[in-house]
Amino acid sequence: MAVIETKDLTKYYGKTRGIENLNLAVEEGEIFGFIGPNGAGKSTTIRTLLNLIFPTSGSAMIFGLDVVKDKVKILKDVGYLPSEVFYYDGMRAIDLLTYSASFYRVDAKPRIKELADRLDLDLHKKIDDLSYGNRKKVGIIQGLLHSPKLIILDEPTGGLDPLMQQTFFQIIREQNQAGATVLFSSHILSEVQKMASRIAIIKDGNIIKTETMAEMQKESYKKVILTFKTPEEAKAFTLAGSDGVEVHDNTFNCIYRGDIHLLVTAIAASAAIDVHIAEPDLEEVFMHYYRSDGPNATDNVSAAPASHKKVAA
Amino acid sequence: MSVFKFEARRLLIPSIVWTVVLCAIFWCFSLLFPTFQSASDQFTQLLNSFPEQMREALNMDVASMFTLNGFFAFYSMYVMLASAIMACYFGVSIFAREKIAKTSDFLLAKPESRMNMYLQKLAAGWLALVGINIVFVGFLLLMYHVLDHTGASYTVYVLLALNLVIIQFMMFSIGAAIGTLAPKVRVPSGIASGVGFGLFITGMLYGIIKDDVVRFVAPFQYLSSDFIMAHSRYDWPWLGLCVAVIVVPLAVSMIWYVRKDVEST
Repeated sequence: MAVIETKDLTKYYGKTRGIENLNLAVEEGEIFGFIGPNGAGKSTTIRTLLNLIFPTSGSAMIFGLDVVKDKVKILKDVGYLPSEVFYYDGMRAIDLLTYSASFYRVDAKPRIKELADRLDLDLHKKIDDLSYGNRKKVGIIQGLLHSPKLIILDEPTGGLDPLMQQTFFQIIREQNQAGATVLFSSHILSEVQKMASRIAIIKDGNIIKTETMAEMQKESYKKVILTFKTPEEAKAFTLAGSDGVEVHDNTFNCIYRGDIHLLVTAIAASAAIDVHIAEPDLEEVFMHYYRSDGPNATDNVSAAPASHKKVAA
Repeated sequence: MSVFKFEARRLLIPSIVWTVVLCAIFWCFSLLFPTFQSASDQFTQLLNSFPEQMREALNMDVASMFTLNGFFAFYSMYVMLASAIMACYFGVSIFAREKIAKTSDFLLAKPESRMNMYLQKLAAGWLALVGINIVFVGFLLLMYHVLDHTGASYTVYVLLALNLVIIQFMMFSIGAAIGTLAPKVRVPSGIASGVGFGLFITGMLYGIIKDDVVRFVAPFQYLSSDFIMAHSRYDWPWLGLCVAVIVVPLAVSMIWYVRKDVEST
């Protein structure tokens, strides 16, 4: 069952495009990564799902309920951590969290204490006196204190130090193992790579690719580094199916997507003196999509991107 | 009721402070009344030396100034100004609280309908105004008995006192509309002072030129003290306008609050 489902969801701010005909399905129990650069439409999608903004057209359902008509029912089971956290002046963290908990009509005190202990947050400090990272921790607790069935995280780790990020990811994984579905938006791809089981890439308000992490990383994308005797040989080398070619001195770097046999044949026929083939990280795959322009980029991303070198190996 | 409780708690201290301030302003003016009354001849001469337009603008009716109601009608303008600024401040700050603190995402992602949230904010604001005015009007009525009220109708005195309450509810609604509709709000007290003084000036202007078109933009003059003292009642059409000024801005701001996209922080 899809916990989140959008159909041709469109949001325009006046004449400015936010998202356009966005179709998204997040299944129950998965951690779904939503990646794209700033301005691609991630936050617009999330804010529409939370009914903070109203769709221009199309529809969005959460738990099978309409996000506009059934907002109250839906939000009882949704935890949201925005990218930027702001709170009322003069409140202590515990006051803010108690206020937040009062909307869910649950005794959240044990949960607040448990999360505060794990995140090393002093609940009795005034929020105004907290660092940005500690305010983010308040945000994490207020998003999770009612043990939501759906957790929506919009660029969640900004301000958290690496150790705290690990703790945060661990908490999210535990929530997920306990049955919560997670929608995790980020432009930091390594975060998504660590967490998500499936991802959607959003570009210019459209989802251009939805795949499992495993598919995305193993779909014959290879990071290829060839070393030649001379820079001239490196510059002269061409490889069909390659993208993001960079030549530094006598080294040729690219992301290859295609038949692995053709790759091996091309390398064998070249004058390369050293070869390094590795799995690309998500960042590199992602940039591969983002460098792609033209109709192929959005209509059929599995087609060779326009920027690929079309030279026989 | 979470929003109601939250707002009511936030308004508690400002409400206490404003109650004390309003009672203190009224008390200070009241202290002047016995002196004013005992030196009525000199004050009459002094007031008559002022240009008529100035007396009209400052709501100084020489014929009635030395009765409690006449004196009250004069200085209630200034109490009205203070209470109007307070009520407008409450309206702006309650309905722009999330805009100012950038907490719209925090609040509106909670499982409450926006209509419900709006009504809870409204109820908290009204509760504060009712609480303040129970004490304040109670204090005014007490002062009627403390001061020399010879020849001063109690009904007129009560109507003049309630006029201060009606003004507050009008100004609260105007403040609520500003707080909701304004794209950005930084300092509610600045907005409230600006609106309060602006409308006070239009009231003075109406006092000089007595033009009904000007009176429409001078809520302080909707329930004219001259009319109240002459008829011992409110001028019904203008009282109706008061009700409209309370209801219409609230209705508009409620629709806006419920339907408007929340701007991203």
